[in-house]
Amino acid sequence: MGRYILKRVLVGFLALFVLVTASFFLTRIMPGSPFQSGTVSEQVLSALEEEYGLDRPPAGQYVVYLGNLLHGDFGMSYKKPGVSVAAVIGRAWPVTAALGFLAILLAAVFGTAAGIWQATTEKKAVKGGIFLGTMLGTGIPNFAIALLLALLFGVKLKLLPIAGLSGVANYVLPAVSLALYPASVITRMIHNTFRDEMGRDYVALARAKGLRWRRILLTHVLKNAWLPVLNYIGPAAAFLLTGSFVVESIFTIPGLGREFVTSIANRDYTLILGLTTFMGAVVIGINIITDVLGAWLDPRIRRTCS
Amino acid sequence: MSLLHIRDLNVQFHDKEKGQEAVRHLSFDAAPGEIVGIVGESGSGKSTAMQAVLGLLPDCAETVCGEILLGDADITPPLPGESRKEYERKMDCIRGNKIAMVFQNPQTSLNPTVKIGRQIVETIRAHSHCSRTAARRRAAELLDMAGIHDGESQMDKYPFELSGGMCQRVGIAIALSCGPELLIADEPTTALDATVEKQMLELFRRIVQETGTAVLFVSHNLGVIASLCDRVLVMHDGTLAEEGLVEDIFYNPQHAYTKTLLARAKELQKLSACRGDQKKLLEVSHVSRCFAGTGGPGRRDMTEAVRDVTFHIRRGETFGLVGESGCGKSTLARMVTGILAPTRGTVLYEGAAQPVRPGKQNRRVQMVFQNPYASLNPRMTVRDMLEEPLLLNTDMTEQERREKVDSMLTLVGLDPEEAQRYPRAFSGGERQRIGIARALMLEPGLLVCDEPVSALDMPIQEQILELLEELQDSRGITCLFISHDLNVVKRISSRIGVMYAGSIVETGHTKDVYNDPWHPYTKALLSSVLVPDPVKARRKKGMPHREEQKAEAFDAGGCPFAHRCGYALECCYTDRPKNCRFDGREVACFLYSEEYTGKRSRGYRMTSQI
Amino acid sequence: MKTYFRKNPMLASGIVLLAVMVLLSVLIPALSPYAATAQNAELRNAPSSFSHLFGTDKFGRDIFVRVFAGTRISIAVGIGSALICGVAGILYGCAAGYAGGKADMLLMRAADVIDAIPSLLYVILIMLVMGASIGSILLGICIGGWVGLARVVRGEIIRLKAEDFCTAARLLGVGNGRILFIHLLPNAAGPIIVNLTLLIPKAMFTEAFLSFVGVGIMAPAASLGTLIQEARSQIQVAPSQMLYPILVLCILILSVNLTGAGLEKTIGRAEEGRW
Repeated sequence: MGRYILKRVLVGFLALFVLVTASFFLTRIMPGSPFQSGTVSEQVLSALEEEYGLDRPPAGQYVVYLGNLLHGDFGMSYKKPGVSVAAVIGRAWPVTAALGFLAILLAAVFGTAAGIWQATTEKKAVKGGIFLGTMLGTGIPNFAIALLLALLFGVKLKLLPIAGLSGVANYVLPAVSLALYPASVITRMIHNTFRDEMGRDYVALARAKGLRWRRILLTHVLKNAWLPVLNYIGPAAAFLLTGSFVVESIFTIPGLGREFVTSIANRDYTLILGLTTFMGAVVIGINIITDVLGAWLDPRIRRTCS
Repeated sequence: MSLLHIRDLNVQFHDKEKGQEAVRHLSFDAAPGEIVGIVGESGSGKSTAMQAVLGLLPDCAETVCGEILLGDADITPPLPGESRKEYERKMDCIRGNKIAMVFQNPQTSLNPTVKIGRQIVETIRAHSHCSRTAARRRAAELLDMAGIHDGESQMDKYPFELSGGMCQRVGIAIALSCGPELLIADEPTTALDATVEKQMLELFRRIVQETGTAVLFVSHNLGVIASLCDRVLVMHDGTLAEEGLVEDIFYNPQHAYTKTLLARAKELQKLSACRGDQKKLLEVSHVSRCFAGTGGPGRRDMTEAVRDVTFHIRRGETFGLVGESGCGKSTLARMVTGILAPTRGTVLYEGAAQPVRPGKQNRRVQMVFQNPYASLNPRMTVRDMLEEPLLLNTDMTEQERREKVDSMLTLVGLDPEEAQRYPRAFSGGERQRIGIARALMLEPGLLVCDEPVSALDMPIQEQILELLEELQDSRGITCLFISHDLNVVKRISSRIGVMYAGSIVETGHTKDVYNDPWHPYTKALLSSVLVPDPVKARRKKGMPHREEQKAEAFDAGGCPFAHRCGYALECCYTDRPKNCRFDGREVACFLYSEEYTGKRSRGYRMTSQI
Repeated sequence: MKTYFRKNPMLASGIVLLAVMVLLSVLIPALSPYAATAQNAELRNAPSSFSHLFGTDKFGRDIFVRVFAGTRISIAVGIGSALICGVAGILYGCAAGYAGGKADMLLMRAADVIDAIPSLLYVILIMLVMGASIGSILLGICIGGWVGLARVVRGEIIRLKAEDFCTAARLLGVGNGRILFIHLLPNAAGPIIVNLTLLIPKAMFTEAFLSFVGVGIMAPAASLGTLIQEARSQIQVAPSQMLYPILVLCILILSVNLTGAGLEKTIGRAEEGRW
């Protein structure tokens, strides 16, 4: 088990290193100086470049950047004078984290319930309905869902707020539009694994033992069916973070995603770089945690590795 | 007064394409304390009938039944279309409580992620109101009854940490947990090794004596039925062919099907005649093979799957290799063919070492595989498959190749017209024939048969063995025949080697080894061979033995069998026994060493020491 | 053919829908009297009419033509990336799976590293560097897109390599190349096809996403993502401008998903030996 964790963490750090390096040099070779905007004179430009350390060779800048990263210093924003990238992250991250957590929770609860229902019901209509739902859920891009929800509940029905972040109600539409895709995927996974697991010998034995059907499903089958879902939480986190780019800008929520999109529009390279690094680290971290958790929860892996 | 009373049971499967009748008009009774055997080939509907009794069949199966009574209770399943709700509620109290079931594959029928203790406890608590601790105590008793004596410590293990035999004991403990009146055992010993199978049958007999439960014992193996059951039902094509006391069925069968079934089984009892000359074709000397540990990521230790094996095969003979699953037979076979390189030692074919580079293997050595479904490429027609070796290794013209393929198919008893079809169009026995034809395409000198009949029904087994014998006579092929089934090996081989935990413990002429085993393991193996003859089967005494502990055998510093051996000496645990040779016979056991028997004169005739 | 389709309605409806979408995307921009980028100042935000089926946008451009011009890009990106990722994934997976041992370990660790990075992050950076074009979108998608398929192929090759028919072929003198391409790969075709069809909607989604965020295809060129983004500002006055591209994008992705699910079912049946 220890070796497994070590291996996963090493791969994670390597991935993060590759991401930081690639992002750093990509932002350096992007066309144009970040401060160029027509009215700025040559002198001011070179003064600015010196202030941000852009006059040094890229390799030197890279070493300095890496060193700063280790202290949690992501550098200063190019476009917002006096604002550090770390401060932007510190302000925006809780919002995005809350939204993402809410979405994952929604997806897990509804996905599991719908998957079990689809796998165990005998009604053709329910089966087909849920299947169609998952088909649509994975077929509509999240920004389209967000816009449609905003149009329906915000513009037409005026039931829910679609802009800003003044209360709990503001979280509803963004969380739902983020959760729909992972919920559909989880539904499909649970349905497939349930169907497979229900045909296994141990379920037949459990029935022959005289256990109630509901009990077999909820204690024996669900545990085994949830193990693969746990491994999906990592990719789902990646999906949610990138999904937050569009969803947060549509619902004007001051989270990481909206900062990222604005920084792209502004060509604020340090901010882009810092946010990329931070989000990459978050996704890689969640992946490692869920993988290790999954391995630990599965006695077949836990017992043979230790 | 009968315990189980079944009248006119019919089961039909509604698959998408075909409505298949699996069981037709089945009626029988079982009395309390009686062991009823149900025998038939695969697909004869015996398992389906048993599942129908418990109402465990999937929704696509339609059960129409006149009457099923358990004692006084009516457990007739509802007709298709009727509501199952009340039936299910009734059955929840019957299943596991009044009627319990033991399944075929012990390792998959336990939930892999739940500790075995919990799997027993939940059964007890489902049917009786008792505290968790009381249920745990009861579970330990049940495990003890099923032959697991340190139940308390075993209860915290997961199924994958136990051997197949242990898992089946857990399955039996679960079945016994509520003191059922009827125990349905669906091929409970088929997936187990011969020695474990024998122990399991003794366990079943003891349970019936102690608890007085009735047993319905389903098996395709006539030997198992003969040695255990009081009464036998013979099933064929979903119907009951014959029913009677075990002696009547085996000594005086009435139905034509029973007669052929018994005749085929008797054929298998024959001993093979000696053939082959004195020249050595294949010499395997001091061969070992290590594998990196399979214990999961990060395991560095190596396990030795084959350890210091020496034997030879003479030209034209059939050498049989017998041993339990996991003893390294298949690894040895792959080293003989050159697919695997030995870690130490040499394999010489006609005096030359076997090349192991991919694509450079010796084409004079070919192989027939166990699983006829996996050994043929499903995306190639039979003709393409058989032509491929000719295309790559010879410069025959297309016409010559066609003729060769046709003649080979005829030789193995298939119609050349069918060569355009894909493997899935053929039955298991036919596929095995195709596999043999493919192995013969390049006219090999040595044919390695790795369990070639284990996946087949008994009548088909006999046909394939006959085919192999014919081919040997007509083409002078030498054969290395590997199987876990001593019956099959002794039927076809002139000499046999007995393998245990990576080592060959005894070799010799089949007749000698079979009639007078020397090594304690050979003796254990022989005593567990089940003959389809009730009187003989019951006379057979078991061996003094201990619990199966396979993992230890491979790591043991001394004799691998020492931990299970009833005759183990002190030196058996510390030193490895050397091969002791007595004209044409070799045995690796300290009982036959000079240290044990004392110095021997030249003309000394060794006899069995056990 | 008819009975075959009835057996698998998902595959049938998926293929029909997909064919219709492809046909429309080819024909409409070619035959329409309006060019995708031609503006008409007199006809701004026009509702649907006979001459402008989906109406016009705030610059008076015909949305009907623009939507299907966008579909063209989506389909091109989808198929192009599936092809590139397919070839790369199959080759990489074959190499790792067939070689085994240390080489396999190294190759798969490298794949793990690429896979651990959320792809959209670096795709956005690449778009910023390379500039917005179909080529850079394809490059961005394909840098990490092949890993999943490579894993599948590697798993299949390792599984099949251990099968008896492969051992038999080696004993009969079949060489490495022939074993890999004649004996192993055709048997892995099922999972490969299913995973290839999964790549297409993913790529379409990525393209639309990038264009929506503003780093993909740039206006005035029409991509479904850009269309939706442009229509966003009109959400209060003319919501239908947004609905049409969303609808078409959904139908497109849905049709590919349906085809994939249908294929999976068909292949599953075939593996079981029932055509």
